[in-house]
Amino acid sequence: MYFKIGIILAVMVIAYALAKWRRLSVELSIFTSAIAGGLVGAIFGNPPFNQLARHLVEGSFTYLDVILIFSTATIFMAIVSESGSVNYVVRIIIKYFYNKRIIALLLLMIIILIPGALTGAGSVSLLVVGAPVALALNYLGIPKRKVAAILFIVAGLSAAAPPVNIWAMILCAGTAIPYVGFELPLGIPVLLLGSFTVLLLGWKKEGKMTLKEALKEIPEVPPRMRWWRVLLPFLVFFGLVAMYRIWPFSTPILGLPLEFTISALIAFLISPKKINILILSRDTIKKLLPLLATMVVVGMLQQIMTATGVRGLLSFAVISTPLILLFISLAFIIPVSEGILTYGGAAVIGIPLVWYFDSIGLHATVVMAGLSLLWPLGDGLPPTALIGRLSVMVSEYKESYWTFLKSTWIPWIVITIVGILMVVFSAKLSFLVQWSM
Amino acid sequence: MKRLSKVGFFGFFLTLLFFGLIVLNSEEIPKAQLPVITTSAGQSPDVTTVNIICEEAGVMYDYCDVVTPEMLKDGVGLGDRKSAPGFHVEVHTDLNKFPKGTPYKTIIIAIGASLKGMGASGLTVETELERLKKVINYCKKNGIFIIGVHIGGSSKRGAPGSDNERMIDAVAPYADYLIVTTDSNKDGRFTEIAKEKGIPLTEVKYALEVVDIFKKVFGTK
Amino acid sequence: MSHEWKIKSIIIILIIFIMIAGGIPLYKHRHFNITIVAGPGVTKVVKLSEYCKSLKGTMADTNVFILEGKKEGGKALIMANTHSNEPASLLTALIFVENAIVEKGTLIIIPQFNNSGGRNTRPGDGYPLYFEIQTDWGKKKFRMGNREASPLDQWPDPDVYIHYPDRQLLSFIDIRNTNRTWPGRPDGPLMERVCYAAMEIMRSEKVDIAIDLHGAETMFPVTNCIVAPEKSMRIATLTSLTVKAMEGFENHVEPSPEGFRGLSHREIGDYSDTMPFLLEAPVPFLDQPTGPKTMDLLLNGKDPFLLSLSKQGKLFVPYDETGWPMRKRVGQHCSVILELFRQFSRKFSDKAIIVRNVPRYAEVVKNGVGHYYHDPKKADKKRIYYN
Ligand SMILES: [Zn+2]
Repeated sequence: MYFKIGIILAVMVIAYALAKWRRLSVELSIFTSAIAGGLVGAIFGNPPFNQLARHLVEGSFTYLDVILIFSTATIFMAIVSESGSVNYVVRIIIKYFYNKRIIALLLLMIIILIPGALTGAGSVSLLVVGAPVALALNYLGIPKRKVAAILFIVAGLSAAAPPVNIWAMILCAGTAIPYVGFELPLGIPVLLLGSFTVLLLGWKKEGKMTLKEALKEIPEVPPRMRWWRVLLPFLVFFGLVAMYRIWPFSTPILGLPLEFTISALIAFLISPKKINILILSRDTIKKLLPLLATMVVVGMLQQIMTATGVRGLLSFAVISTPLILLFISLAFIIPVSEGILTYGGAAVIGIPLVWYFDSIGLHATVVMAGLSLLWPLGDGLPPTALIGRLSVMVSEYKESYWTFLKSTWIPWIVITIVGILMVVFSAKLSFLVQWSM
Repeated sequence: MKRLSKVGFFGFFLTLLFFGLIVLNSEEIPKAQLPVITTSAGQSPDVTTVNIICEEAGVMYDYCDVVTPEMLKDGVGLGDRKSAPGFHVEVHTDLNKFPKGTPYKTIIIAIGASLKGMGASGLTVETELERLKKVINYCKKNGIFIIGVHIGGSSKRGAPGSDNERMIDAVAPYADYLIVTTDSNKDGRFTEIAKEKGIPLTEVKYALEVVDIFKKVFGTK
Repeated sequence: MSHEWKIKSIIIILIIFIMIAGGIPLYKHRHFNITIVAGPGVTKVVKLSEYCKSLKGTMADTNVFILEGKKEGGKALIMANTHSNEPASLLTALIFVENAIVEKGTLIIIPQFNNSGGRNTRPGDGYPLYFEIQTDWGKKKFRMGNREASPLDQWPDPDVYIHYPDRQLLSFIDIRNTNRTWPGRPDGPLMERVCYAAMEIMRSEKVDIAIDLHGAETMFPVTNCIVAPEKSMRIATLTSLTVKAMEGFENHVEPSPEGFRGLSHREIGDYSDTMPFLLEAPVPFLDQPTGPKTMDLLLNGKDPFLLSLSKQGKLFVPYDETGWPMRKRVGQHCSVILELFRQFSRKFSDKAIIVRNVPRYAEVVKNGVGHYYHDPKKADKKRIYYN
């Protein structure tokens, strides 16, 4: 069986490489790889030929909810941005904090952290506040490459931040552990690592723009723009999220897509500028299409990998690694699994790992917290590179993707070390879980 | 067909009883006296099993998972201490026969390590071993009969120096009587300890047989 | 038509073809019904919605088989397919429904507890849609379901699930998991209503013991065991010790954790007078590190990766070349249930539950699971139920 599955895996890798070589997009390359794996698998008998179409269709629904959240969050933010709110906020931050750089940087970090922390998706952070924060960082004299790096790392941390961490929730559901006690084990490292990253990458001011010039650069804001017009759509969104937390048994469950849609509607209604919502939505989805398509084909890929046994082989390889080596190789295994399978990596590798670590006396909750600092790093890795590509997109960085990725290396390594140490010393850190409850 | 298998089942039961009797006869079974307290060495759930075996055998007992010499000193009723998270107290001793404060005559220690169990009680392997040492010293000094029980099978055994083996080291050599299952004694470790220290040992195939042994030991019906 | 549009049209047609070819089997799966022949002991079949009106007309409504004994005695509730990707549970429940004769007491059996989950698939996990059991008269076909209810029946999910009534935070996925939504409420999300209906059965019928049948990964520490809260501990432990001594299989007892809400073995005990037990049998199919997810793996549990991990000491159940065949898992469930009844009856002789004509472990292992299912073609049409 090892041999057959090995061949299928090899064919999938070769198919992906060939597709990339023929300059197909990431999405089409992953799709090609899934089809190739499915066909070779079918030749070996798994999955049967007549089930291939079913597996592809079923797999394409794996991340339907994530796709809906991406779409609605982006349209929401596109409307907010179109109404002039974004420029309004950037103008204010620059105006008041231009000369108080540390405060400005930390403030901008908190702004990126909040949407991701509340929805569990770093992408939402980038889609909702990425553009204005990127602009503000630019005006603070930070080059686009470093802006993209800051956005990538902090958005990744925002996804790991409490109260909502999707990796931890997938693991909790899969390993039968309640989703409690994550506030401190996640909150403290996220805040420390986030501050470290913005200060490190944002400390140096490059370029000679003065405050006056910066303010002149920022596009004009519609004259009828007011604070409440900026805040109301966000208050509605956060209010809807908070309402379920405060009155969970009498609040109807709306789900994040509808919550974003309602907020988008509010933003549309109170915009001081007339917005053509149909054209705006169309353009937004067009921009977002590569990411949405990635989520669809990654679901297919995951389904084919499981049906053929490739996924099992990878999981087996990880679990069979000797303990010490395993701790070290977490630095590669975790991000790479995310790069290939996005959230699927948490289930495939995370669930057996957490059980195994638990059985040798490590603390499951802290282990999950540690691992979920590492997963977001994988969102910068190909083939999917979800957050990496979004960071580049919203920061309007136009050069090589690898140059951008390279500039994240210091925070990347620091986060990796912190994450692995949290896993290794999880039993000693379990007081963080107790204090959270 | 169905009937036959039922007969077979019954036959199996009889055989089991027969072998059980051989086991019982082959070893001298010491007698122990009430009142009795049960506790754990290593905080594995096996102590719950021992408690239930006691109940089945009609042996009324007091129980504390993390008993200390101070608590033993308080005798039956354990000084009215109340259960709390990671600290469990049960008093089932017949208080008419043995009023509160009566010194215990026997302690049953269920051996088996569980990191989770110790964690829940705020213990480490070291503090648990420390506690056991004190408890055993107290029992030796005050003539409390120590019964060591290991019924967790191979899952409660390990490599030399592992948590489970350290719990065995802490209790078995000092016991006055050892009861173990065949699975627990696959490598003959308990036989060795018993021989070396001259401790009576009863090996049973299944933990369920301990019910009858307790009946014999405590002379209950 | 331009060249670009020609290519686009071909791609669109291709996609539509795949969607239809892949969508039809999924649609058929959702609407496929399993045939159940009510056995000689079944005296009544009702719908779960009788105990929670708001379930009526939903995909979550399901059959409740009632087997009233000749003499009054204790009452037991057996639930299977709480997680519909743990099929040993359903197969065990059906052996009871199709064969059991109750001498004393009452059995209430819900074989497809999370009916919506039983009609759902698990995107990304590549399960087969069906599995077949060899019987004496041919093959009997079953749907392979999912752990969670279908989003077609309960959607959307919240960003995090807040358990009713304890407010403990659980994963958002678990709002569709009927082993997290206990004790439920009549006007909550659909799965909370399913659990509420079962709670209502237990409260109104004064059920003495509830048995929730499951299966778990071999890498999961809580597998091959009986999970019991404090109040069920004694009966669970005696059952475990007895089946080990009498029938030679391992089935240890795990205490139900007090700080983890929404599980049957926790909430049933806390919100009714019923004693709950949750039985886990190993399901190698559900483990992450396995070969292809085939029907063969599901039924026989043989896998080279797991065998290797077992040698590394990384599994929590004994595992060798023979795998974990379905007959062993179902046999264990049957024996443990019967032994729970026996131990309960010993302790509460006035509320005894005496069931016969249900095979024990050795018999199921010898004859196979399918041996105990009846041919619907030869059965009285009025005794046949489709779900
Ligand atoms: Zn289950």
